[in-house]
Amino acid sequence: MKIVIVGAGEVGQHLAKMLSSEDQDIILVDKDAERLARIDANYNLMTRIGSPTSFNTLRDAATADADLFIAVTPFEEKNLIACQIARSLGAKRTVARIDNFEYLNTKNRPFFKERGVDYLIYPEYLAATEIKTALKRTWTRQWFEIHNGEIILVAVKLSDNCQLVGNRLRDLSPMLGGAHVSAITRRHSTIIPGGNDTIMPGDIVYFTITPDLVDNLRQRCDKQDTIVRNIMIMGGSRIAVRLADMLSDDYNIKIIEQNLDVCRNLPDKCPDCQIIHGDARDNDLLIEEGIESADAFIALTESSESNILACLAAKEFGVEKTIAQVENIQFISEAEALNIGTIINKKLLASSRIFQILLAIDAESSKFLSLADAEVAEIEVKAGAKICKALIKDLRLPREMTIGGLVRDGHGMIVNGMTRIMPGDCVVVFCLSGNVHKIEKLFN
Amino acid sequence: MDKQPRQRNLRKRINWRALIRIQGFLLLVLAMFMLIPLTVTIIRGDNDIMAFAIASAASALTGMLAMYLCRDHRGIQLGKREGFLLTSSVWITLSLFGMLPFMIGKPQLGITDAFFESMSGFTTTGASTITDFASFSHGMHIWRCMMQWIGGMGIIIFTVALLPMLNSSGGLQMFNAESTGVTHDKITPRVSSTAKRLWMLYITLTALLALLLWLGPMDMFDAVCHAMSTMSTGGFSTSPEGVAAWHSDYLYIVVMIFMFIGGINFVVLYNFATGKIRRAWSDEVMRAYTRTILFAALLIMVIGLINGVVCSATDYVLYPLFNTVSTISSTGYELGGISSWGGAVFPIFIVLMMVGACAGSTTGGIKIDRILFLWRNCRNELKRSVHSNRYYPLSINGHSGGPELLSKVAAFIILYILLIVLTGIILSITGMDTGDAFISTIACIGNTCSSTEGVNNAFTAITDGGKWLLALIMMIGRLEIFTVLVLLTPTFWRRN
Repeated sequence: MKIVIVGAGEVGQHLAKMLSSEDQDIILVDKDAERLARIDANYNLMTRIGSPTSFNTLRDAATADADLFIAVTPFEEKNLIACQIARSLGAKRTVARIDNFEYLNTKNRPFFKERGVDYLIYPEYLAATEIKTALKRTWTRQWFEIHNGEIILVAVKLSDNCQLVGNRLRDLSPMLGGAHVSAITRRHSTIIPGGNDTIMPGDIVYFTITPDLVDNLRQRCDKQDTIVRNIMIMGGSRIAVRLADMLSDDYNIKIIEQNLDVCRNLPDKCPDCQIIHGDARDNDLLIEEGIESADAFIALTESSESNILACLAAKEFGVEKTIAQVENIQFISEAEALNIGTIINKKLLASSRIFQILLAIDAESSKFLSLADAEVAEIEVKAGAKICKALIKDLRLPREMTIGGLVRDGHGMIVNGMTRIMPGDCVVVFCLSGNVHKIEKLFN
Repeated sequence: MDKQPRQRNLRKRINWRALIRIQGFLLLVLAMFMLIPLTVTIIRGDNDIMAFAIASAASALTGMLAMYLCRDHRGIQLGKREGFLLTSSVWITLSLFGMLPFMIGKPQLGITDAFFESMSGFTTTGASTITDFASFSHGMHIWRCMMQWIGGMGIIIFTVALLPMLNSSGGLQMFNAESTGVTHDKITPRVSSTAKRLWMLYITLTALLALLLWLGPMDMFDAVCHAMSTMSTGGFSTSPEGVAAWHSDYLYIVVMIFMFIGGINFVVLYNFATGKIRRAWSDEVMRAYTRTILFAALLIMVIGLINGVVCSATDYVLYPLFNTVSTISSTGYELGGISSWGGAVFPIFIVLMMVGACAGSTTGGIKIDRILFLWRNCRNELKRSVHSNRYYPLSINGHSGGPELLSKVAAFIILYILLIVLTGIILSITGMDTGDAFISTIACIGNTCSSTEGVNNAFTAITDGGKWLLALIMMIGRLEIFTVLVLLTPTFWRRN
């Protein structure tokens, strides 16, 4: 597929690198020649120097043949105009990154459709939604529902005293009531475990479960399901405003903001929240504002370092759930290794969303979730596929993959060695990165 | 939430298995190419069948063995270092296998001469230690020309086009290490389709040239051989006198035009071919290349007139032009004993050899791009000494190159000259005439050697050590210095 990406900022670069390793034809356009030179020399893609809103530049970047045009410069006006130009040149689909929540309103969508902008991406909104999910299931690292929640993918970080730790997987089945251990992230790398693998303290374990197993799993993992009432937000950024707008009915929110000017404007934007002027890194201030009674602490300032450290401090105060915005992609895995509940990164959220848009266009691949170095794919089994020939345990499947669950006739099932896959099933497959193409053969 | 794969930029050991596996594949490609001269010998009924059969089988078997032994490579995560190492070692391996026919077949060269001949072929230098190749079989002739043709565009680029596993950033590193020029333009986003298009263009041009030559005085066989060695600006010929043996102005003009084309950046040619004529035409490097040729030819013409050379009016235009194009494009065909036109002619050729044609072409030398860039910088500095407050942009084709590019170009040229001086001195020590030593070094590093008899007598006189040294210099010149020299630095081999 031919994809033109305009704007080689962090989102643009991340997308370009990711998509070029997925064997897509990528052309990256930016004004900054130096920024492009490094990518051009090291990645299998083409770059063009020029303004994102110039007809000549876009024509030169073969926008006319593009299946997808993505505008992710820092300026929403430029993105919208670039998309319009691209559409007039012949791009099939266009995506623009925006900064204005109003634009997402369904009433306004036809306006953008008419003007050649097919999809709008608002990273702050995506971040707020992500935080909302995280607050509902405080005990999980990741919660992903497939087929209207028939199958659920849950990631849990296991602590030293959890009863599952130290056991081999083959001995765990009765305890878990059938939940499938699909992948384990251990010290920055992901493994697909077999029956003889042992669960270690500090592992992030990915379980595939059906809804009825959720409570059992939570207890076995030794986790409490805290109901969050009081939230403390550090930094009055756009995400904070969006979040306050979404959540203020159900939660008590305090926003701590250092900048007085920002503080003055905040009450208008989030009327139901308490605004506190001060530095959230100051412990006295936190205590005074009742950090000990807060159930969740969300750090959303510009500085990733401050966010990480503030979350660690909040943990010390006994806050159950901490969420940090980490914009430096390099810091993410470090932050994960520390005890921070959920990490938010606008760039990765935006690129995941674009990835999903891409998949909607490109029906062949059906990957829906990227983990650190593994992929989760939902694959429909074709008639006569190799995978249907025998029971799972007799199939000698490659070691880089495992099947977590399947949806048959609208009902979710967990897969184990005794399962036989039937044509028409929708299976949830975990595999290590770079193996998706090998695995697709099994299902066709 | 989607997470960034943890980058493995903690450099690990060099991925030897992947390197050897790719080398194995390249040997298979070479073996495939060797089937062509084999077929020719069989059809013509020459007695060199065994030479090519053995050479091809040896390459194929070694290639398969290498691929089999290293089948469990850790993915193809090739970095910059693997790119450099692979490219340099591939050129040596190919020359080692490419020389087999010369050792087994008719000339029955020793290992030194055979390697020299083979490296000279692949690097499109065109130097030869063989004096009586009139007795060569057809297969041997076509193999010599074919080596130049393969080496001209580059066998790695050919492989990148074929091998899906190189359609990655690893393949890109190899592509960059093999192709010439300061910056590398891409014509498509994927490196394999870029490589495919470049080779398609190359094959088309070669076929066209062969057809044109065949329509002229050449027979089919000579036409194909010359098409391959002209398009790659190599300069091997089936006749000891080179193209001069055919005494046809039509032939000279056709060969000249295609040598000229061979000296143009293939990306520019691709733009021409795909109808982006305006953009191709405005390429500043190509214009500088044309201007240099016209200026040098005019200079030689004037020298000829002053010295009162006697020849026809057409020859007055054709000979200087042909020889200039032939030298600047690093082909090395010679016409009309041009050196005898005056003492000033030879120095002009020496300069042309060093300058070379456009980057991204099949030619050798420093490349016009770099010279143009430095020249503009010098001009700016001169202007600035008068108007010290004015800003003069330094750019080629509208892309401004900062001080980084300038220092890169300067380093290249300094290394280029250092290598010439060093090699010239070493050759002189081995007992070669000092003048010859330097001239053959310049010709070898610029891949420009002429295949005609007069010049090659110089090479037959070189000691064995000198031949190995010059073969190495040819490779360094073809891969544009950095790719090979970086392997000699301790930094390259250090793990962090």
